[in-house]
Amino acid sequence: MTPLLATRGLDVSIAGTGICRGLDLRIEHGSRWAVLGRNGCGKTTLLKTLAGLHPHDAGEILLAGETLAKIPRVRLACTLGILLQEQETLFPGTVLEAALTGRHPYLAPWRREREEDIGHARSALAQVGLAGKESRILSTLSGGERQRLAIAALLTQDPALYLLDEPSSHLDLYHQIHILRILRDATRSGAKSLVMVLHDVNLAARFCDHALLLFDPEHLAHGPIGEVLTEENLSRLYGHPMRRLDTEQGEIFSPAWDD
Amino acid sequence: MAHPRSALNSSATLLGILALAGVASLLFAIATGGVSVAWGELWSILLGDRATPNYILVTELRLPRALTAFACGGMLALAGALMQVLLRNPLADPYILGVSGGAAVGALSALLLGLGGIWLTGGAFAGALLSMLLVFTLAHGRGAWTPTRLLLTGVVVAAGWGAIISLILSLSPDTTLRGMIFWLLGDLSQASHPGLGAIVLALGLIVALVSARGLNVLVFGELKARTLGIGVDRLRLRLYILASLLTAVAITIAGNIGFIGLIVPHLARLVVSHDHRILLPASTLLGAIFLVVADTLARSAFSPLQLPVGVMTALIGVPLFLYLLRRSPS
Repeated sequence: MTPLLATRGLDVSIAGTGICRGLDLRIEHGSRWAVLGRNGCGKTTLLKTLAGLHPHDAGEILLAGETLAKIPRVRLACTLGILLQEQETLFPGTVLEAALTGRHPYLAPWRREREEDIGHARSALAQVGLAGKESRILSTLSGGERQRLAIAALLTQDPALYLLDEPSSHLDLYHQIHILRILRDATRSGAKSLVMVLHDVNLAARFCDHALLLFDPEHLAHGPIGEVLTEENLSRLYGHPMRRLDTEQGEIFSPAWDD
Repeated sequence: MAHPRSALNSSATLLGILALAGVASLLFAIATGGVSVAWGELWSILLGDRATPNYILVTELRLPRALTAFACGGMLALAGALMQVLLRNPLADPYILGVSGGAAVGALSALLLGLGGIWLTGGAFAGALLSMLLVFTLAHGRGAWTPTRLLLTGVVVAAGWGAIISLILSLSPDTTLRGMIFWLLGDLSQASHPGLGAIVLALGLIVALVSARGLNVLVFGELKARTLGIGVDRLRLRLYILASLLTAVAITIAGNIGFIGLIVPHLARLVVSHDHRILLPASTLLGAIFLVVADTLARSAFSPLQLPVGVMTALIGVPLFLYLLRRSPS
């Protein structure tokens, strides 16, 4: 079967610095990928490249077998959605209006949002715990609430492929787990997939089934999570010794505390 | 308010009320002046009774002037609302990219040479287009075409025009200076053909409305808008050109009327909506009403002396805006 997203010999760089070379990925329908690496190694740029927001130097990106760059942008927006790290606003708007932007690709320019679009947005807001805050002005939200709102807008967009840049940032422990569960459940049907940049190895191990490790532009590791997340790989990835601990809750990775 | 669909419907009602207020402002304008026209007589004139004493005054002087003010106010407010989103800057106004400076240099050159009529309007429009072309070409340059780059280019080009305007003013004989100052402050006393402005305004509003939901998304950032299927570069270019053309036409007809394009869109955001599908027509109507009322007061407050309308827009607008800003929640 054609994978949902595939790259062949993908070279990516930003401002003359290489990020990856010759990347061959196959992201199957229903799979969940974690992208791990140190600060500045290019995780965000790689994610933007996969979303068609950053040009690549060589190779190709195929979305459901089609060349990404050739897909009309409105159709692309119905298939692929991305959570960006920064959320901008210019003038004050309400929470519900922000979530409704996710329906934009489904509506002709002159059309108003239909009842079902508003229904989509409301249920996404309820899922991320923002029910009852629909008419709040955006500038009155906390950082964590804004992050959850951005995820609700993405759920409202309802793409087949979710690309997420640090979905757990700004979130407290409860919401980290809650939001990642929602995202995992969204891919349960088998038709959807997600690729997320994470900094917490244990969240990656818990919620993802594949991982991509960016050591340096020439060296990458990717595959099923059990094969890729090893003490050796993670120690090399983070430049700090990592230990795998067996607990009654399963395996947990912890930095070695040697001081 | 919580339900966006009902919010849209109530906003539609609000637009209807604004449209009625627009008609009322036009009636106020044609009834008021050095000679006041009673409502009964006004009605007969509007029904086409040529025997009425003030028939010529109303149909050939006041009505064309009021309609021109309506169209120009609408164009300036619409252009301002677009510029503020496109440049991601609440301080942006229709003149920020230097269109008015180019128009002023064209118009003042004509006045300096003792030319009037078609040369004055032609000079203003040519200057506005030249400035627009200059800014877009220079801002594109070799690098990317970002709002910041465009804004900086526009501000610098506008400063250049400002210097040329000062040069022309200092070279001009006293006899032409008064006309120049009036042009620079905005003046509707020469207005006689409202049709052109009305057509440009109507077409402009239609183009803007088709892009309105795209603008709602663009508020959340360029990248976000791209990922939601919006061709950001094309949307921006289309609306920059639209806003510049609206400004060029308005300034050619009415001179350099300040303030409306900056304040009216904010007024509309404060009291009406920030949904561009409502905001753009509401700004247009508010700007139209505002200029009609300001022009009527400018020509009647110290009659027979006529003030430049630009003075009146600021005298009414500043306190009104400050009051609304203080009253609004956060």
